[in-house]
Amino acid sequence: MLPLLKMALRNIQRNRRRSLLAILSVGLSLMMVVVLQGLVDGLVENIMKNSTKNDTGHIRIVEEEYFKNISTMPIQYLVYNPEEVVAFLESDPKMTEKITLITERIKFPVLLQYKGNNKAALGIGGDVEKEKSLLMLDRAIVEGRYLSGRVQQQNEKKLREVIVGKKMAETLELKVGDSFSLMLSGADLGIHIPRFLVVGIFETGLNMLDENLFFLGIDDAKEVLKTSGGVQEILIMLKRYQEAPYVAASIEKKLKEREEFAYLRAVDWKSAGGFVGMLEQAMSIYSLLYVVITLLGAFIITNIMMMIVLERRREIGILKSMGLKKREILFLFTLEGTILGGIGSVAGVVVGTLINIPLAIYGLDFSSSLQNMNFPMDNVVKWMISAGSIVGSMFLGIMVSAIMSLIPSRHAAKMKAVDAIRSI
Amino acid sequence: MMKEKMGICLLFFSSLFFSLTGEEILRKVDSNLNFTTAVLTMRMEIYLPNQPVRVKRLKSWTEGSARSYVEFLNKEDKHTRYLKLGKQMWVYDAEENNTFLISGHLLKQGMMGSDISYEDALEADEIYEKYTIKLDQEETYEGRACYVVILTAKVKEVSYYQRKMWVDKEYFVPLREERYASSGKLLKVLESGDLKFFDGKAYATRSVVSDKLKAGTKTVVIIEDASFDVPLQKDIFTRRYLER
Repeated sequence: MLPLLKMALRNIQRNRRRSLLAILSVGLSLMMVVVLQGLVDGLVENIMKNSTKNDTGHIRIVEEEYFKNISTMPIQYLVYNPEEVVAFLESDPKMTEKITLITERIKFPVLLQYKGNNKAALGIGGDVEKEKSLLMLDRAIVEGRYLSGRVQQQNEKKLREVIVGKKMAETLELKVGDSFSLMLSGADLGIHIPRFLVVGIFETGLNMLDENLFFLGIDDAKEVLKTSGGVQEILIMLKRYQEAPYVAASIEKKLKEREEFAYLRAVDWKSAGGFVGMLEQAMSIYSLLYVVITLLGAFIITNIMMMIVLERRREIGILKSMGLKKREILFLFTLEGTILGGIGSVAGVVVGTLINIPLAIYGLDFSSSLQNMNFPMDNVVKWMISAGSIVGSMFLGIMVSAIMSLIPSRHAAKMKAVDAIRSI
Repeated sequence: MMKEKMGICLLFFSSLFFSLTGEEILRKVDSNLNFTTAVLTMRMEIYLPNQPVRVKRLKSWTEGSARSYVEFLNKEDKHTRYLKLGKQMWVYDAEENNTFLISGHLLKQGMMGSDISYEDALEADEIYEKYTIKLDQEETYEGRACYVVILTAKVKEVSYYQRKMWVDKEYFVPLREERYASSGKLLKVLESGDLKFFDGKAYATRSVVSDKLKAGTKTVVIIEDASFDVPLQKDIFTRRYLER
């Protein structure tokens, strides 16, 4: 083995220009793969983070019929006595060691009308304190203040505090201190026309929130929508989101232990569909794309190795007549190709990672592209660098190079010694 | 032979002359419902999938087709009142002391979560201006001989591009109506029955409305009591009365 390795290394140096070409080709491909992978991983992480904290949680406890109609957010299908559900789950230490946060949410789509302007909007009622870790709107306040959790009175009229997204405020010409009314259909199928007071305007950088969302306290939401204390969702965040499907199954099993909770379902973020479901499918396409890019780059190795085999036919003949076996010839040429590909892979991965570092720190601003889109994606996307991706890309480059070297190597191995020596 | 031929021609031409057009049939339907005022007490049953039936009791005061005032009699909705004036509809919430003008896309919402939308209530009196009306054929529906009348929109500002009505030939009461989008998709079905007579005029006291865009829902409206051409309080159709 060692003599063959020494031979391979020496052969690579015989035509440095050609070897460099092979290394460059593989290196460029791997650099592209690493940069693309960094972007895709960063995008997925960004969308997943925003989707889970703003929408699906890692796990949601919901009523079955609500889940079937989740896109319309029906208010009739509720989790009743949510505080008892939460207390029941928190009584199990095996659950609490995996969970970082449990909170209640109510979501209701509305058509907001103000000063002759119309806007389709989403109202979210949530725990004012706990949502500081999820929606994080307290940090995004640009005018006014965050919710205090109090109901205000003005001329004997009840005003419930809300904060609204900046773009929504601009569309509706809403300012801090303005109040507006909504016509809501409650869980009782009755009509209710509560008044809301804008106490703050937020800007998160996420179009989905800034354009469409207004946020109010969970108690206010329960009251205006007449839910009798019920909520549509109990959101659970985990220490490790990867465990969500397993923990969701455990939660659902536990809920079935109590008859009064048996009507509930625990749904993990992957099963929720929507953007996250789309991403899961896209990931498999991207993995294929990485392989294709690497293959294209490594294709040059096949060409170069073929040239080498044809050039060194006499040498191959001599080596065979000296007693080198077929598999040793195969191994020798494959090794040469693999070494070229390996050097190119390492170089490409290093250069790609160096490009990714500033992109991971500062990101790129996609706000002009995302202007009119409602993706759960920050306007500034940061690349993601992971040891797993780096090692995986390197391994991909080396494997593909080895595979692409096989064809010419087999050709060399199959040559008859006499024919090879005669070909001058 | 000649006399027979002339008789047949006379019969044919006279049948053309005396048979009703689609519009005439609908005008007869309208005249059947012709009253200056009406006070109705109704029960509305709202059916949703996997939910208990929600029952709402309401009372309406109506003057012609342009003015209407509605209050709810069941405890849960006592705070809600509606006022319709022409093409505008207001809703008042006594708990919040707040009035709201229902407009734009909100009109497409179902009233109180039912399959009857606000625009269904507002568009009822505009069919002659907005639709061409044609008698399609005659058919039997639920054992009753009916005219089948088809209304096709002639303006863009309609909720339903096409409407197909089965009108009872004897009493000129619509027994069934199907409402379609311009794509041909069936949007709503209305079925009426339980005819009762008031001053010699037939009135369907039970209606079932199903929104075909929603699975497993329907709304049943039953008229429990009806009085026609009775004097009404003068200020009942005012915002002041609504918000009292």
